[in-house]
Amino acid sequence: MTERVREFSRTALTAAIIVALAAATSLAHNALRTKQLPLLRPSGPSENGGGDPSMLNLARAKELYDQGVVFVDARDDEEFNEGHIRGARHIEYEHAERQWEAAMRGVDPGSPVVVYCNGEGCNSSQLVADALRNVGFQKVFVFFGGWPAWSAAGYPLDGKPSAVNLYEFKK
Amino acid sequence: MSKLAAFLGRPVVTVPLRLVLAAMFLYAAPPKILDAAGFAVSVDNYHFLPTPLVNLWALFLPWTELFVGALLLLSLTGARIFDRATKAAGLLSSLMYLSFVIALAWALAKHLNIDCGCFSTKGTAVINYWYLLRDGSLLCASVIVFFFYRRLSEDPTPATRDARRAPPRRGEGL
Repeated sequence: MTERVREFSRTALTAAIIVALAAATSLAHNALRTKQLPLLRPSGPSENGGGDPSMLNLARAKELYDQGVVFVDARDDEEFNEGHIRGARHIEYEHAERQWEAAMRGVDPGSPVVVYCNGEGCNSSQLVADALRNVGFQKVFVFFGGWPAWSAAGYPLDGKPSAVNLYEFKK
Repeated sequence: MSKLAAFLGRPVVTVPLRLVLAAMFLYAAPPKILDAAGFAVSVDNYHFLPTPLVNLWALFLPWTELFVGALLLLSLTGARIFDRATKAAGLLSSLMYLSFVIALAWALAKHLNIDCGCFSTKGTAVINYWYLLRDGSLLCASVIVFFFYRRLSEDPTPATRDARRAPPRRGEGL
């Protein structure tokens, strides 16, 4: 029994060394990146109470929309041209660094901005939100339900409504 | 039980399992290493880890996957030097898959329609119960590799093992 415990301890120690080596490599690799990932993830601004404060549900997104808050569509060109939330500006995730300046012209960095993409299964809204936070926008929110939820709710849009209703949304 | 243990330790079982696990890790790690920001978003979407820790996990996990995958592959050379490291890789693989199973079950229980973040960071693989089944199976494979690891040069069949343990007969050896 003691031998087994000793054997397990040696294996666990080796595992800890592997994790330490992986951690050191990952930190070194991150330090060498042109665009480093901050080690501690900043939380978004707090406005809607519990859960992740930078995430908006459909009702809250509509509320901000009605107040005239700027909406940003993070989907690709084709999807944006087919249909988007009425008045939304467009920043493609992959070209965020190139496109944000033109897309956000005239928007005060201190004012709230809502970013959305193709619903809960896509990440580009959060990546564009991070990009906007990095360039100085202080109140960036992500509308988690995104285009499918907005379209399904029958809210104002330009172009065609969402062709694929992937999920069931509740208002 | 010992018969089952002997069977699970045989190369015909452990070699394919080590190969599958190594392939999974070596396939999954590079996209997440290259797009750490995208992977961090996928991790954050689970709402499982506290937000400040998400980036650290997104940085450490893919490299750990890469190291574990490489060790599991190197263990197939049968070299003695990889014995301890392979057992440790089996342990780490078990812990990683345990964490994936718990996170997936949590997200599915909360009806989150989020990207898996398993092999890509593009947000194209929405989680479902199939992923839970897959990761549960890979967890079992990892546990087998951890508990029943033997070097390939060792013959784990009961007959030869018993023969090896038996004291030399009179007249044998020096």
